[in-house]
Amino acid sequence: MNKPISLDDIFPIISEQLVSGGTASFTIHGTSMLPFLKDRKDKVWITKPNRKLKKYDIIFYRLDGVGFILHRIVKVTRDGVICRGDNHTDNEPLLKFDDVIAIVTDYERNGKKRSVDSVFQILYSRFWVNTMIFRKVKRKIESMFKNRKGK
Amino acid sequence: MKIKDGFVLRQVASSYVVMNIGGELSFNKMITLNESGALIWNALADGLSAEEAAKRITSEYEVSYEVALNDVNSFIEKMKEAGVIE
Repeated sequence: MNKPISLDDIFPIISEQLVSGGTASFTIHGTSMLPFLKDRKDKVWITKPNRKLKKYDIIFYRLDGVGFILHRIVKVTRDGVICRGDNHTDNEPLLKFDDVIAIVTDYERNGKKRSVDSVFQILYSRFWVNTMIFRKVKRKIESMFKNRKGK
Repeated sequence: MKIKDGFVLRQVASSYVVMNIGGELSFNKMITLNESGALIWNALADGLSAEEAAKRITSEYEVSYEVALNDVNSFIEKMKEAGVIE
């Protein structure tokens, strides 16, 4: 009776579920939120935002030509939010508030469900976002060495 | 025996998905039905008994009433286990 369905096919009913006040949960795909969320292993619960979006929130949205994305807010502006995957060092273009589909409320790692409001998550998110510049510099240096070796 | 309040059927591509409106929709534990499952669901949602649902199936598919009733009862049991039917 049970078989997999793509996210694109099911988006209309996810939308209906969220609008009704319910939640949706799924296993994440992709590596853009490493080390926090592991590809095809960790799970998230999402719901329609019922408060103002804040820095460090993880949100669910869709970009044309890219698909559905789950990334973290690194800046909130008057017109929208700027996001970045935890495994990325470049910010994305401004995303309007209306384009935000849902916000992550809970996540599951190693079979254990936790709230994004847990102390661990709060400390991790602040640390990770605010130390991005060091990872960016490190990657730049590594890339320079790689290029030199290749010559 | 009836479908619990809040549970509805929605078509997704060529399948049908059982949703718990206002509750949780889990990709990992989603209940999907094929055409015949959807037919049974709709019959039960219309308030038909298992026997009446089986009669409706025999009018749509070339199966005997006994086979149809067996399928309906099996469906009901699975839905009860999933917490969808009370």
